[in-house]
Amino acid sequence: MNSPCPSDPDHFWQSAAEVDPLLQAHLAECVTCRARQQRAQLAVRLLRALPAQRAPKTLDGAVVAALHAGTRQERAIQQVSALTRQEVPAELNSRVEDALVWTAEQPAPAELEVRLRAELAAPSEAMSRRFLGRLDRLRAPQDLDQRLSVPARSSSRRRAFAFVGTLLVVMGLASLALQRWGAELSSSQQQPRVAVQWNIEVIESAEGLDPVSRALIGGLSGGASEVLGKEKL
Amino acid sequence: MKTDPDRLLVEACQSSRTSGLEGAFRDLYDAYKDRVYNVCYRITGNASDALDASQETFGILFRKIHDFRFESKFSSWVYRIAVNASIDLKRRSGARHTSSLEATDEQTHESVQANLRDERVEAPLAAASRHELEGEVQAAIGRLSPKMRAITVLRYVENQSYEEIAETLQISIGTVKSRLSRAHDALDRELTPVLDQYYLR
Repeated sequence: MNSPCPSDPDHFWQSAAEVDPLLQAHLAECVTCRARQQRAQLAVRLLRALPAQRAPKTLDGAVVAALHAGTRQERAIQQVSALTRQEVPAELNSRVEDALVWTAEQPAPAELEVRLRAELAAPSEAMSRRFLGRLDRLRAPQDLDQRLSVPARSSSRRRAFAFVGTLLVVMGLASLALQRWGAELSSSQQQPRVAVQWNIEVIESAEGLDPVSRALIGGLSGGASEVLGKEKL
Repeated sequence: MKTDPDRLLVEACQSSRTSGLEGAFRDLYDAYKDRVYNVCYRITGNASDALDASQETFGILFRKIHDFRFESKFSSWVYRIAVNASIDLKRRSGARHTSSLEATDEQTHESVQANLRDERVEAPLAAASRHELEGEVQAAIGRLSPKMRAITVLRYVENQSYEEIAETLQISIGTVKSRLSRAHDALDRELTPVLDQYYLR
């Protein structure tokens, strides 16, 4: 009768002398186990047949170097461990005391009570003040000044040109109107001659105009005359 | 308890205060350098790392030999240091493998010294390049985890018994058996394609 196959395959790795007689009997009957055992034994033989590696000659030098390095290291350790313990200088005490004074318990400032009262009286308001008050007031960057100065300058110049142009147009229209009115007067000679006196005033500032003219020019110039009212034309 | 064969040399090292590779320590070094290098080579898988690990092993031995109290065999202690140095080195260098052309040359030269007496092994090797097969086996060992690699090398390359392995790795015999069993499984997986290629074609 066939014996069961061994559950532990380690037996196959044992040498012939170590193999149990029962297993030997089983191996004689079971082809599968015999093949496994042969494979294991072949592996063992291959492992044992690996050539013995001899230490290379360079190992001597490497070991000597390692030993010397180790000796130097030991010597260094001895020297370091032989260092004497240093006494604490007297100055250290005073320095430590100074440091302790600085870090001593500080009394609460009187302002704390004031703030606490405000907090208890109006918590939400106090909280808003506490948090919003911490926000830093931001300063306008220099870039902003540069950005604003250039367009403003160009804008005022443009408005001045517009004002002068408008003024010239108005004066031109006024002179045309006067010429026509003069022509009508000369054509109607039957009518009694009315003495007309013209006053020509040179205006250097918009403020010098009468309110009606100023309103007229303000409307025509789109408000430029009001902005530049105080400026010299 | 049997007397440690290295006891006299070790005690001579402990009583003297040598500063280098000389005196009794030189004798110990000569006695162990090949074994240490071999273990380091099989665990690290290349000559360059093996040299570094061997160097580290003897450095540690030199520094700690005065503290050795013969609580285990001296040889087990040496193997333990070599195994740990090799595993640490592999861990530090990760999967990086660097070997000089000189080291490869040396490895090739020494591989010729293979002691393959078994006819069943020798016959296919003669046909299929012995060196290539050795490389395959070494690669299979290299694919094992560090712990399994160490136990495989001690068991099959250094021919240590379970007890010696337990003493070397400072683990119980039960742990040796279970770890070796897992190593067998892994080796079976790794070596089956190699065996199929070289023996079953």
